[in-house]
Amino acid sequence: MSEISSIQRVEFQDRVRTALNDVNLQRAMAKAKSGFVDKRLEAKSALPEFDQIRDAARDIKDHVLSNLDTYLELYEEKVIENGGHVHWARDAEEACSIIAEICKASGARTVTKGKSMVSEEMYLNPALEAVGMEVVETDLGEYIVQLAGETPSHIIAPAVHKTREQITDLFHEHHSPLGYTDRVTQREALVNEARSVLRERFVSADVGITGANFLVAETGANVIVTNEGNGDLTSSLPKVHIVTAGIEKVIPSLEDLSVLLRVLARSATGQEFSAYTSIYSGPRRPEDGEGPEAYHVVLLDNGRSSMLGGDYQSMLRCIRCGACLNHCPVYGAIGGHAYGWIYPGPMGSVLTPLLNGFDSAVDLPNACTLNGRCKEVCPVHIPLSDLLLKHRTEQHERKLTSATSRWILTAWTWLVRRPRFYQAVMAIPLWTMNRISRGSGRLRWIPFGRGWTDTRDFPVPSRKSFLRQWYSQEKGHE
Amino acid sequence: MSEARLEILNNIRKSLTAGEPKTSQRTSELRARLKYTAPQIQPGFTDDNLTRFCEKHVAVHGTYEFIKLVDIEAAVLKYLQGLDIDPQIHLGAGPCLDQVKWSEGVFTYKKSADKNTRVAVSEAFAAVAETGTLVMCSGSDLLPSHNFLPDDHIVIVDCDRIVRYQEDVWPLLRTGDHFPQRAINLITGPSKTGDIEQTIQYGAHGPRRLHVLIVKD
Amino acid sequence: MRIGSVISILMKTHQSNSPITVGLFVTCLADLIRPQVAFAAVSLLESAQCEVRVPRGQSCCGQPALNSGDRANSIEIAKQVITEFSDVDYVVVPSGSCADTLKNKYPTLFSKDMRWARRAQKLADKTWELTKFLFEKVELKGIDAALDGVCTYHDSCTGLRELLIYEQPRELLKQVKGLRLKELKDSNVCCGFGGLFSLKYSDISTHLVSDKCTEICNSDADMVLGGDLGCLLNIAGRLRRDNKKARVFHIAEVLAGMTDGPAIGDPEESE
Ligand code: SF4
Repeated sequence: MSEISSIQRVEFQDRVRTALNDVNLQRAMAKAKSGFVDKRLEAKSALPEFDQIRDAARDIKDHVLSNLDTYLELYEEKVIENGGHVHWARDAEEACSIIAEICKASGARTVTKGKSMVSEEMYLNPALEAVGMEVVETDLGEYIVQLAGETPSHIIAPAVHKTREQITDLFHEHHSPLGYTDRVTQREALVNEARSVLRERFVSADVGITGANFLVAETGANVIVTNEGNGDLTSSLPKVHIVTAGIEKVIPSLEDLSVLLRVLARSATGQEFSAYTSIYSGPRRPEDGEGPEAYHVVLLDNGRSSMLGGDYQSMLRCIRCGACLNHCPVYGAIGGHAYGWIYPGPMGSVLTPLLNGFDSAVDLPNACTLNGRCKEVCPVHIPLSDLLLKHRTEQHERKLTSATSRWILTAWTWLVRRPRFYQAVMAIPLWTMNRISRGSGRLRWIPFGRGWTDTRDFPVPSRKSFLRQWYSQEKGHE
Repeated sequence: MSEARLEILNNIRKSLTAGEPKTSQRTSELRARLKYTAPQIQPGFTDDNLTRFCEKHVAVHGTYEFIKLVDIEAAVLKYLQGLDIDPQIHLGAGPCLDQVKWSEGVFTYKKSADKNTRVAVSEAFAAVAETGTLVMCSGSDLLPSHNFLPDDHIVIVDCDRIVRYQEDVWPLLRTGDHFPQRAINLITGPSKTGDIEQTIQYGAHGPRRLHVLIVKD
Repeated sequence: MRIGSVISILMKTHQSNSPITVGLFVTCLADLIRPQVAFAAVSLLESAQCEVRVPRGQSCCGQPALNSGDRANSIEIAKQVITEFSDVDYVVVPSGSCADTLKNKYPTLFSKDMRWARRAQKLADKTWELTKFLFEKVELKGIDAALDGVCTYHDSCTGLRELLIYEQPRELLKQVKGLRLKELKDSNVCCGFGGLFSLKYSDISTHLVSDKCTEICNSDADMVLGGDLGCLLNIAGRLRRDNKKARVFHIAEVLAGMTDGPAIGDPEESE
C-alpha cells in the first residue's frame, strides 16, 4: 500500500468510527432516515409517468453533455444580451479570485449566500473572508452549519446531522449578543428567530451569491429552486448578484427545464414542486423598479471537462437532488462528514476522486456494498454503483490498492481455477473449523476475520463440501 | 475572450470529439432546437384547470377564495381584518389589480418591500393547474421583493389565466413584452423549511401565508 | 403452413421427451458452508422434471475479484465458468448476486475479445436465479413442504435490483403448508454484507446488520429467509451473537422441506 493511501485509510476509518459513535449524529440520522425515502416513494407512486419523465430527463442531460461547448456558448451569448457578465474559471482558485475581485470592485463589505454546493467546492467562504468580506449563509440549514463552523453534511439538507438541541445551543450562543437572549427550543421559535436575524442580513448585503440548479441557454437565465425563499432574497435585494455554477448545469430551453423540475423536487424531498422556482436573467432592466445593478455568472470547470467523453460522463448528468444520499445505507450510518469532502454519499464517492484526484479518496469507492439502491432512485439514471465499480477497477489498474490484496486475489484466482486442488485445500479449514466449534454451529473468532467476528458469529462450514459429498455419494455423477 | 474560456471550451471539444472543431451547422441546429421546443412528456390528470389549481394550492398550505372583479378591495380588507392587520399594502400591478380604486384609509405603496413589510397584494402573470403554482414576473410596478419579504402575500389570479401545464406558461411569456424578464418567480405555497429535524415549518424567509383571490366574473 | 405446424408439433414432442438439462452453479458459500442449500436446489429442480448436472470444475463465480476491480483475474474465472457450463440448457444459481455475476457481469468483461464475448453472452442468456427459474421458467407447482411458523423475508440487493426478484420467492412460499409470511420492514435495505466489504469496513457493516436484525426482531417472526447465503450468514452471525430467537434458512431449504436440521449458525443436534 502506498503511503498516501494508508494514511487516508486510517483517516477514513477513524472518521467512520467517530461518526458511528457520535450519539447526536446517530440520533439525527435515525430521525431523518425514513422520511426522505417514504416521501419520495409517495411522490413517485402518485405520478404514473415518473419513469418516463426520468428517461426524458436523462436524455436531455445527455444531449447537452454531448454538445456542451455549443450550449455554453449559446448560453453565454444570451447572458451578455441580457446585460450580464460571464466569467470562466478553470479551477476553484481561479473562481474564488474572480468572485473576490467582483466583490472588491463593487466596494462590498457583506455578502449573503444562497445555498450553493459549487461554492463549497471552491472553498469560497474562506477566500472571501480573506479579502475582508463578511459572508452570511442564508439557507437555514447552511446557516446552522456555518454557525457551527462546519460544512454541509448533505447536499440538500446541510444540517441533517444536527439535532434540535444542538441547534438550540448554537442559536443561543450566536444570537444572544444580537439581543435574542431567550433560549428557544421549539422548531417554530427557532425558525422565527433565524428569520428575523437573517432578515437584517438580507436587506443590508452588498453582494448576493447563489448557485444554480440549471442554466437555461434559451434565455441566459439561472434557475434556483428553494423552499425558503432565501435564494430569491439573495438574488434580488443586493446591488450585485453573482451566480456560481458548474459548466454541466446548462440546459437548452424552458421546456427542458419543465421536465427536469418534475423529477427534481420529487426525488429530493418528495415534493411535487418546491415552493420557489425562480428564473433570473441578468441585472435590472430599465422598466424594473428594483433588482441588482450587476449580474455575473462564474462558470466552473474544475475537472468536469475532462470527464466528458469517458466512462464517467454520465456523472455530469447529476442534478444534485440528494436522492442517492437519502437511500444509501452507508450514508445513513455514517452521515456526510465522514466522506471527507463536500460531496457525500454515492454521488460524492463517484465525484470526489474525479474532481480531487484518484489517489485523494481511495476508500470512497470501496466503502460501498454495491447494493444499487442509489442507482435505482437516481432521477437521471446515473449508474452510480457501476461507476463505483469502475473506480475500483481503475484503482486496481493504477495500483492504488495494496500489493498484498492484489497478491491475495491472484493467488486465490489461481486456486479457484484448479477446482480439485481447491477442494482439497478447502477441506483443511472445514475440518479445523468443525473441530474448534464442537458442534456449536458457530465460531466466535476466525483468523483474519476479526472484522467479522468482533461483532458477529461466523456460522460453521459444513464438514464436507457439497461437491465432495455429491461426487463421493453418487459415483454416477462422475 | 479570456484564456480560461478558450481552454475550457477546447478541453470540452477535445474530450467530446477528439478535438474536432465545432461546425457552424451543429450550432445552427442547436439554435433551432432552442427556438422550436415542444413540450415533452407531461403528467396526465383529468380534473379541469380550476379544480386542479385549487386542490394543489391547498395541498401546499395555500388558501384561496373566489371573488368578482369588483370585490377585490373588499376581499383584501376582509382578509386583513381577519388577521388583525392594518390596511397598509405594498401594491403590485396587473389587468385586474389596476382596476381597483382603493378607498381612503387604505394605504397603498408602489415601492419595494422592506424587512418590516406586512402585506403585499400582487397579480399573477398566470397560474399553473398541474402544481398549483403562481407565475410572477418582474417589470414596471412588479417588484419581486413583494413576493418574498411580507408576512402575508395576497395574489390575484384571473381565472382565465390558469393554464394546464407549466409548459403552457412559456409561450405566453415568449410572446409577451420584455421576455425574458429579469425575474420569473414560480411560487407554490408559502415559504417553508425542513432544515430542523426534517420537519416542515412554514414561514422560513418568505411569506408565512399565501392567499389567492381567484377572479371569476 | 401445414408442414411448419407439423414440424413444430414434432419439436414440441421431442422437447417434452428429453428433459431439460440444468447445470447447477453451486456457489462457493453453499459448497463450503451450507451444502444443504445445493441439495435443496437439486431436489427442487428434479421435482420440476429437470435433469440436474453439477459440473465438477466449478468453485466460485469470481465476485471477490470482480468487486475489487481485478478484471484480469475475473476474466480468468469467467472463462472457466463459461467453459464448464457450455453444454447444459440452463444454468441455475441459488444466489441472486452470483447469478447476476454470470448474467450481467461476465458479458462486460470481454469488450476486446469477440469470441469470448459471444460465449459469455450465451451463458448469460441461459443463466437463472433459482427462485426465478422455478417460478417463471418451469412454473413449479405442488411443492411438498410444510413449515408451521411465521417467516419473514430479506430481499438481497443484487437479486432484487438487477434481477428483479421480489414476487417469485413470495409466490413459491405460498405453496409451503403452514407457513405464514410476515413482511419485514425495510426488507429491501442492504444487510451490510457486501462480500469483502463486511471485513474491510466492518464497523459500517455491523451497523447495517444491526439495523437489519432490529427489524427482524421487531417483526417477531420465528424465521428469516432469503435467497443469498452471503446475507444470511451475516444476519445469522449477528442474530446468534446477540442470542436472538429468529432462525435463518435459505429459501431453497424451506421449499425443499429441509428445515428439520439446524438452521444457519445453529448448534448441531445433540447426538
Ligand atoms: S447522482 Fe442522481 S440521485 Fe444522486 S444527487 Fe445526483 S441526480 Fe440525485
